[in-house]
Amino acid sequence: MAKFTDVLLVEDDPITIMVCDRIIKMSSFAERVKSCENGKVGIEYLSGLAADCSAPTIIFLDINMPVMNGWDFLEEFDKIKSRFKSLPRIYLLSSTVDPEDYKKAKKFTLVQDFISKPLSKEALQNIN
Amino acid sequence: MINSLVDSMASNNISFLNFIEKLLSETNTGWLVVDDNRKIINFNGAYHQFHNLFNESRLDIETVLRDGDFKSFPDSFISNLKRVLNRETEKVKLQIDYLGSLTLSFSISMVYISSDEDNFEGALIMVQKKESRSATTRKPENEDFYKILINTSTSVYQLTDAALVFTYTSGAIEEILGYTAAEVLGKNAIELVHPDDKEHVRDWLINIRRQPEKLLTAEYRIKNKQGVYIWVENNARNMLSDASIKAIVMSFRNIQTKKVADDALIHAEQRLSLLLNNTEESFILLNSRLRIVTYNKAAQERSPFFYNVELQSGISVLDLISKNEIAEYISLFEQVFKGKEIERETKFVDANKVAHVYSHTFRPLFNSQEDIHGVFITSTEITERKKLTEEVALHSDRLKTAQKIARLGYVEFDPATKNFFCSELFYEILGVPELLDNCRQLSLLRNMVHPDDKELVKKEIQDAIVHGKDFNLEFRFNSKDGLTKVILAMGGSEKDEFGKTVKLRVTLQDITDSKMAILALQTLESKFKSLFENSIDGVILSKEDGDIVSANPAVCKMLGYAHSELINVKSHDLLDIDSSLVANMAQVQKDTGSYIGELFLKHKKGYYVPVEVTSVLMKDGNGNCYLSTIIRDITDKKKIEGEQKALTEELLKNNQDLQQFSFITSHNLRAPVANLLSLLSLYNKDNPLDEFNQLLIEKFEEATQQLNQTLNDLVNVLVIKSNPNIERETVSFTDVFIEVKKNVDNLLYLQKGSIKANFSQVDQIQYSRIHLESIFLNMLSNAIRYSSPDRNPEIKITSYKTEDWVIVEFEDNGLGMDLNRYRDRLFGLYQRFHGHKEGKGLGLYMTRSQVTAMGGKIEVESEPGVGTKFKIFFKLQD
Repeated sequence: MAKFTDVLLVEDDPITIMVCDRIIKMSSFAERVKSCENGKVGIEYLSGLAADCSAPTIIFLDINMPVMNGWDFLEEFDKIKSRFKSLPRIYLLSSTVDPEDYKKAKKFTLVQDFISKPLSKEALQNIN
Repeated sequence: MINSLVDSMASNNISFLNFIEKLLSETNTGWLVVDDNRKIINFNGAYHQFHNLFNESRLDIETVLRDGDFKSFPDSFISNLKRVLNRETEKVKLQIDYLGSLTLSFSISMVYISSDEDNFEGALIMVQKKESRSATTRKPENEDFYKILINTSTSVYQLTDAALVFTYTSGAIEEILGYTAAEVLGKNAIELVHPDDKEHVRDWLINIRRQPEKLLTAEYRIKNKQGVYIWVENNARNMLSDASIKAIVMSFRNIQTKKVADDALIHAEQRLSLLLNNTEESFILLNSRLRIVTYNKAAQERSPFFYNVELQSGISVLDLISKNEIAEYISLFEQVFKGKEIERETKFVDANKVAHVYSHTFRPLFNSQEDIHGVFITSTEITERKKLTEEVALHSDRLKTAQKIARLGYVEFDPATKNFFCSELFYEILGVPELLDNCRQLSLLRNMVHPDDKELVKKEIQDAIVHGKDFNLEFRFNSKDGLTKVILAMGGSEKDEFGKTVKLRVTLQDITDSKMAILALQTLESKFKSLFENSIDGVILSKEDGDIVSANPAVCKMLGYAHSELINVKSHDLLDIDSSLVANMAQVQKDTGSYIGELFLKHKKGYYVPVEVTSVLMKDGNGNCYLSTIIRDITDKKKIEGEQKALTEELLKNNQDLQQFSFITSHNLRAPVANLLSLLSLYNKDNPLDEFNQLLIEKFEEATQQLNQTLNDLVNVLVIKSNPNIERETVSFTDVFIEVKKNVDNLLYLQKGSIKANFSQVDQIQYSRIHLESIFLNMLSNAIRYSSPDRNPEIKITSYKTEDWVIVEFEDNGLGMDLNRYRDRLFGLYQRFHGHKEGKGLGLYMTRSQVTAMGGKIEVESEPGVGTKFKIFFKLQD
């Protein structure tokens, strides 16, 4: 029995996507993992979900992506969140060392935590 | 009497005839002078009257006395005159009686007279009336008698009727007033009276009429024929009721001289009393019995200061004083009555406890017989004089003390005897021993004067002695202890009545220290002056109202004014009044009296010069307020500050860039490493042949390649960043464009794009060829890569020049972008905006690094769906 049903992974690097998908499944973290290659694709995916359905429970969000980065995604998501019954918990998943990014993350209430790459089983175990 | 007159004639040197005339005119005697031919030389009025008694004919000068001329004269007159003229006798005396209605007797003397001086010989005939006694004894009924009496009198007799109109006047009126009898008769007595006297005369006349037979006298002025008023005294008696007279009888005489003398006397008396009563000195006059005769106002006012009793005429001076003083006063008066003048002082303390000192002088009064008949006491306040006297007594002591305090030496020198007197301090100041021998002392002093000043000292002293000039000189003096002193000598000469210098008085002062101080001050002043003149900083001295009093050359240069122009400018004309800095300065200055800060001052040409001012309010010795301002031109400083600021900003930016770079590189290095770690953790070591392991190894290779690529990119960036001073060469845009175009030709062909390049305005710059090629390649590949799918790419490249830059524009008609969103990140490292392309987010970052490393900059304009224009600014080299 997986911990969560749906997890969305917004990430441009294919290796990271592969690795994350594998770890999430191996540790029975989620039943389904959906990945989007940048923020824009992520927003489009979420917008395309049927009205009144549940958004993914957990979103792992990369920051540095082409077209629309993690911050842009957060801003855009703010605009569409009203259509969801329950809001997802968002975890930033990044290799960043820039303190500015940590500060910026705090501005978004949906962001639960900052997880440094690579995603590990231990990190997943702490998400309940 | 004649003898004495003759004597006086000799000494006064007057002519004899004049003398005779003088002599006889002053007598009541009638006289006649004839020469040896009996020609009449001169006669007087009295003689004329006598003549008229006997003769009808007129008596005239230059006519000759003949026998027949004298109708009723006795023969004896001419015969005796002939005898005298013939020198038969010296002198003849005879008597002639007039036998008319009354008998008059005349005694006649004839004397021979001669004057060698006037070449004159002749006779003097003198007539004296002997009638008086017999006349008064005669009965008055004889009218002729009165007529004679009246006509020979010096008084004028007049009769008026009851209406006061003259009915008769005697002939003397002509002598006194110049009018003939006819001119007066019929006139009223009040006529001719001086207007001021008329009222008084009228009263007198009324009284006469009212009081018959009473003699009433009046003095008044009557106008004579010449129009001059003369004083007369008129005695009148009302005889209207006397049947034989029936008139008012008046007789008046001339009292002009008497009146003038009286007036003078009265005036003198008034003046005297005025003087006595207005003087500060008090006078008391005592008679020989020491009783007060009179005293003046001052004496009365002051008497309480000296006496117990108030002054009063008639009381004895001894009653004024207290009993214990009487003995002293009596002995005092004994001295005075021996003819001595005695002085005495008394002291009096007034109500305000101020002491007054009075000096009293007692002088004997002599009458015409040289007897002492009284005492004259004068009293004067001498408080001030007394004080002065006492001060004079103290003076010599004080002078000595003053000399000591002032360290003044004093010397007196007598040029005639060469004697001199020197004060103790004189020797002390000069540091010279006192010698007994005057000559040796003089030569010692002379030798010790500084050689260079010897002539000067000698000349000044000589001038003072010979011409009496005062002197004030400074000279150097080598004192005994080997020091050179500066001495100030001030001297003056004292002269005798012939103007000859009898004494030279000189004071000496050692002014070495003050001289040194002055010298030091002057040096300081000149130092200050040179500081002021040569200072790099501007210095302005201004008054409170802003008038510039003084400005040094530096400030003139700084603000572009000539000194004379700046003096005429108000200091606030130099300020930007509207500036908040100026308002702040004024406030701070007002509150604290000084200000230090930066300002802008207006240059003559109108622009503002940035300055740093230090101003202090100060007062001079006269209490005038001045503002002293030191001004430093900080244009250069400002420029440097600006440069520093720009530099700091640049450094800060570079620092941020580097930080960003480090964050991004670490991120970009960490990402593949994280992937590698993840892949490793997923590797099934227990079963190497696990299918998934194969996939992992493929990804492993990919991740390793990614890491390697990232490292290579970073190395490239670092090369650009760490080597800003790359070598410049002359590079042609055309050449670079042609070279780069080869690399994109294939891509351009595929997209059916075209490039229009125009480097006609600028084609060459000094730059790194490699960098320029890299910039062109990035710009062109971006323009092609992000072209719009709706149209064929068209790229325009244009170069042009401004003052500071050579600019190359790359304009495309591609996708464009929303700069509001991406401007910040556009040139960032690893920032990508197009998900479907192979961009790594390195190109624009590299381009910007290559441009900024050479001092340039890059700007962008873009519109989504229209296109993008990059402008690259290459800094022009000096």
